[in-house]
Amino acid sequence: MSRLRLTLLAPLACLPLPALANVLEAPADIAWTITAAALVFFMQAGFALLEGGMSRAKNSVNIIMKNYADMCYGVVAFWLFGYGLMFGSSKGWFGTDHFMPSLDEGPDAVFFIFQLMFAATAATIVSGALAERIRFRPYVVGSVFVTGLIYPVFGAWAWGSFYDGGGWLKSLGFIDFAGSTVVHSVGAWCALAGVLVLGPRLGRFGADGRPRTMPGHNLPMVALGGMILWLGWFGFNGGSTLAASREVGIIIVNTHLAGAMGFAGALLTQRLLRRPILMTLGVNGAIGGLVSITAPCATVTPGFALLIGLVGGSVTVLGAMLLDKLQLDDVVGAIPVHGFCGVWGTLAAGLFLKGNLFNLDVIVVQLVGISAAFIWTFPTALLVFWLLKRLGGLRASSLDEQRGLDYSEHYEIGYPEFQKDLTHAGKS
Amino acid sequence: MNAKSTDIARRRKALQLGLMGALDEAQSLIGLRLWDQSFALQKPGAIIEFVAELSAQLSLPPKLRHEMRMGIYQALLKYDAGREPIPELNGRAPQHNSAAVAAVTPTPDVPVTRVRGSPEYVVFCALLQQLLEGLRLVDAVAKHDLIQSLQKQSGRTGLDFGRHHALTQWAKEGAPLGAFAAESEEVLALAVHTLYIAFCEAIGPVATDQLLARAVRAAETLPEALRFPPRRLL
Repeated sequence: MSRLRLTLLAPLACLPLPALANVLEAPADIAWTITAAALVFFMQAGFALLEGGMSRAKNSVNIIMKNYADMCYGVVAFWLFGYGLMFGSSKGWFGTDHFMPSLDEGPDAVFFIFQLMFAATAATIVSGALAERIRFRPYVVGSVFVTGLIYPVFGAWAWGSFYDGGGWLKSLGFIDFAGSTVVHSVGAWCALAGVLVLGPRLGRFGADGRPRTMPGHNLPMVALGGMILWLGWFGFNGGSTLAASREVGIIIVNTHLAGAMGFAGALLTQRLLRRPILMTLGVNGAIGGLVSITAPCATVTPGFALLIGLVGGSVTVLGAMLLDKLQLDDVVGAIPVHGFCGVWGTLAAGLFLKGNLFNLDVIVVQLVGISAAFIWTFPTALLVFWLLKRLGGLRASSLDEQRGLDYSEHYEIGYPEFQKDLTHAGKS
Repeated sequence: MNAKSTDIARRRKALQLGLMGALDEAQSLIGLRLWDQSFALQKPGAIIEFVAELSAQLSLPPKLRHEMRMGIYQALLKYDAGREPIPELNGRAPQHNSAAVAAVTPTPDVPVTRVRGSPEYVVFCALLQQLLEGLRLVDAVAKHDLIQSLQKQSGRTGLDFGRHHALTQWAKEGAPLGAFAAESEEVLALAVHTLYIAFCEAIGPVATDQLLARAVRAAETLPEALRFPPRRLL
């Protein structure tokens, strides 16, 4: 074990979470981290546009409402419980202090706001997968569980603590620089649980099990959302240094390269499979590349970043096909993009570790982390969604699905001038 | 019917008379549909715009266009503004001509077969007929799936067994929908929803939404639609 620990010293030095001295004390560090937090916040707009564009017009308000709710209720949940669980003093499993933190000392506030944006991102990944058939209120309750419990507990294992002690995965040397697993896979496994409990949208699969295409209502919105997410990723990965340091440059270069190759990988895969080249899959491929590089962005060379992105793009396309085969209805492709690519990226961080390529010990630790994320997240989320289904009804009725969740959940519709033929005349 | 909807109905009838003075029945029907969809509620005073749009749709020669405009103005002045009693359109109400409609719209619309009964029932029957005909045009072999799906749903959607059976028989053999003749709006809406689910399972939700939208548009051309808009069944 001591040899193993020795080999892991290099990546540990790159980890964002700071058992490091003087973190977030210098003005430049504070300025950069706050800017990065703002960029990560802007990703919420990207998610909203991407998810909204990929769903049908009659559910567009519902999508936006869910994204806002993730962000707003998530703030409260993370401040109340999440931050303490994730970054409080820990003996390896979860934090036991700093609940409802006052944040008036040293770097706490800057660190909190940056981490808060990450938590909201994990929650919002779930939203897209469950779109068009989940009721709003139970969704919000589920989202609070993701932000306040599921994400922070795994985060404590991999990134905790900010104060005293450390997570058990972190102590093993698990490398996940900015959260391929901690943020993205965790969000995706929660989404998978929700998808299983909810079931597919009405008519999504034919009687013979063949999937039916349900195109989104606004593909330019999807493209714009993808671009905004990409921009936000510079803060997501670059800000995880928590310092305006020289490493930020290579991290952002790697991020950009992987995103670009993710797009190329998705297109190439579609071409090789002799399928139509779809813009939506291209955008998802780019995001898949970005998710893949999130764990290894600080610990691989640009050449490997290209490769990681390329494979990430392919994983996105193949993963979407797999879900179709399994008759799992993931509206935006969140599970392949964030889940499967998260797994790939985290594994790649071990495979292509700078100066320590293909080290089996490192790879084993990565696999342990990947598995731990699934073992904790998926059953817990499954239980939460199942309970919500039993207690208050999780799924919208088929009549509400016919009318669209905009009317049935919110009494507003996104495009009143155009939707009149597809929605009812309002509730009395 | 409130005062406002009475005005709308009167104006529509006057417009219909004006159109029928210059155009044939199929063209008049297209004109009425355009009026209902884009002008009746949104801009009932925009007669010149209406005439221009309809003329473009029907590729009318200038002389006929002029005659139509004059006919509409005269009818509106006489029956709408002047409040003279509007003559009954016995047997003269334009019937839907699918060939003419297909020439100006890409939708697979079909003639609306009229039945007797309350406005709710008439609109309901027209809506369902349009849906089924649309299904035949979109996917000729999907009817089998539709019937299977309807049979599978029995007892699941809240529609009682008798009504559900009637709906299934109608889809299967074209049996009359008389079982719904005296039903309330809620039951009719439930039947439409039951059919919607079956359509989603047979041809998918996107095609179903498109068919439903077209069926609603077609049903809106019925005079009964003024008293009972088909959207109340959605």
